[in-house]
Amino acid sequence: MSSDISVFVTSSLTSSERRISPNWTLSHFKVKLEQITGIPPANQKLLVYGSSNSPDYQLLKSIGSESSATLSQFDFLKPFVRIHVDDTNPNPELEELAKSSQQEMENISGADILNSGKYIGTGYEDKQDTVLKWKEKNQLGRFNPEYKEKQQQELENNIQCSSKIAVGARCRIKPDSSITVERRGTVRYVGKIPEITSTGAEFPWVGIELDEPLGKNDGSIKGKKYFSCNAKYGSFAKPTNVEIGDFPSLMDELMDSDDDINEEL
Amino acid sequence: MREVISLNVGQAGCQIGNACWELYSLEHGISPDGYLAEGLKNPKGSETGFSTFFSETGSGKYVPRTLYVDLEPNVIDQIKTGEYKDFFHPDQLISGKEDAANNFARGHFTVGRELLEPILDRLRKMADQCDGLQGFIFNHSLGGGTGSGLGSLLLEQLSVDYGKKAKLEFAVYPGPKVSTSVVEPYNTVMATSSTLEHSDVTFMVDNEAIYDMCRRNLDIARPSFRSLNTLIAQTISSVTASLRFNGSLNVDLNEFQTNLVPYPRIHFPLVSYAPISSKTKSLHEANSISEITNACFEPDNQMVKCDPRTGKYMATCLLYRGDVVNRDVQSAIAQVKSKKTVQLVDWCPTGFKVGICFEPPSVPKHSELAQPPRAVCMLSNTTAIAEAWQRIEKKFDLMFSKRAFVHWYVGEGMEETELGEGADAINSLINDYIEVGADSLEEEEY
Repeated sequence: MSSDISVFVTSSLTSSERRISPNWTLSHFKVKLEQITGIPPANQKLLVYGSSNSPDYQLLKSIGSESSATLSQFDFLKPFVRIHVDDTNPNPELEELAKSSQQEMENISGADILNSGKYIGTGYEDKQDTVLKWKEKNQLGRFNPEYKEKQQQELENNIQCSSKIAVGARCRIKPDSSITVERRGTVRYVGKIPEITSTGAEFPWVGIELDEPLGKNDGSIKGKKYFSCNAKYGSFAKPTNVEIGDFPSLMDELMDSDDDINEEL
Repeated sequence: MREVISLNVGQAGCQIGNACWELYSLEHGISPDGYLAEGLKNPKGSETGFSTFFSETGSGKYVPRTLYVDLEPNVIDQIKTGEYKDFFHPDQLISGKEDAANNFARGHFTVGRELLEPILDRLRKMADQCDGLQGFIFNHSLGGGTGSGLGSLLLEQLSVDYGKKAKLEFAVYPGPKVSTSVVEPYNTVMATSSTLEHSDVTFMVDNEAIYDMCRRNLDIARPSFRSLNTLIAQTISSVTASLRFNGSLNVDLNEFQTNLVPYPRIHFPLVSYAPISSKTKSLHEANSISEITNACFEPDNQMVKCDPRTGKYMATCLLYRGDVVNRDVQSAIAQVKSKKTVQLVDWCPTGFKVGICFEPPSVPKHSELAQPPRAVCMLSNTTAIAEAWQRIEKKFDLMFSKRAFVHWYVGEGMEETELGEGADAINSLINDYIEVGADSLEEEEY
């Protein structure tokens, strides 16, 4: 008994590494291939490619009966050849499936699913033993009374802060752990932005044109323009993170210090 | 003693099992014949750690605590005639006569069920030899017939027979682009939905991600299963290193669940591993702690293809091994945390847990992988992995809406509605992830 060899099996819908036994008959092999590729033995045309790059192939077919021909008689069936299974009578439904599957896969994005704020399909809310029910039961996240309070508190704080911020004022965004450099700019917008859904429609935002391209946008949120500036110069910050005052452009200061140096020279 | 029994089911499971035991025996200084390697007086690793995975016969021979199961004989026959033929007790290798034909229903109901009794008998005998069995490690694939069908049947049965003993699962998951068989989505959905309640932690590995690593990092033009499994075994070895050697985190199987799983169903941590580098490339690389830590947050080092930047982290364990200094680890983590790309779920406690095991990784001679002085394996429970579930559900829907190949399953005694219920369970799982990601405090800036 000779031992199994590994080969690659491909078809329009599949690709995989498989073990085949030289003792198998061709008809047995074709039954196996149907389980992998979904193509019925009668419609299988088997093309054997020697190496991945070469377009040359040999046909795997028997002269006599397929049920008596063993694979060992095909000397070109060497380890790691690629056997492509062609469908001589393609099922249009499956072809369609292959195409739409590929398109659908390209369209799937984790961000879209996770940040949609919506469940997929129906009936999730009614199910027991879900994360939703667990959060409800244990008062986690939005089911925590403190969570609502905190959010209300934050809203009030920000409304209060925003009342002291006027369009045209110089300001800086307080540095945080993610952006540690100091960013200065001019206030261009103060008010609600319904496009930002996470904070609720009542939340006031401050639109700032920054002095340097350290922002996130050009003054637009989801296609709606709140003010105009160059790309990456615009940013919308929470009022509590914005400090108003005499903050001249750091670029100017840099220039000034350049001048100083020049003068000294 | 705290013994762990490894179960390898189906072709993929058995071959991954082979790669793992090859590596374990190398790391502990055991020869392929089961005796100590020349020049050693004791197996490497602490006695308690070593004995969790190996038993001793008294004649100086060591036997792995493992069971191999496959419905068809060839993969297991290869072990019986191969280099490791004397490593295993013949009764540890169980095979049937007829394969599962890539069909979950055959593995789960018809052909697989016939083999269930002998497997459970053997397992019972192995469990009886343990002083304090702590649980099981389970290797299988979800896309084929045996690993998915019989694998999930066994996992269900383990819950019945061994109650609350921990079950850690390593599952080969379909890649995003290529299907290995036309019915892979059916098998995966059925295997996952029927084991959702029975596995404590499931580490998924997608072959496409590993293929890409082999090509990109190891310069293997056409990677074979052997190359893939060598790499998979490296990560499994890193995960289990703390159980086998003296470690500081996850020294107990139960700890994985405690540290990583906030809610029982959300038990699919993303695994990343670094460094993955070929022998020639590695000569030019320092692989400092900061470098390998950073690499773990790169999609290229993930065992499942998904975009971690879109998700939120619930828990993260960084398991270092080899020449590692805690101070360097802390500064590397501080550096990572300061990056905006790491978003945490903030309605439940999250954090970075660190484990250090001073035993460096080993690499078998045939591997293309270089042997680095240190390595890190990151286990992170992130909502980003929902992308992988979404993909499989989509593939399933496309097929099921046309009832394509459903008759293969009905022919093996399954009802059409069971397939629908399986998909519904995956749908709930995706919604669970959406719900986990909800209510985190909003962004500070837009």
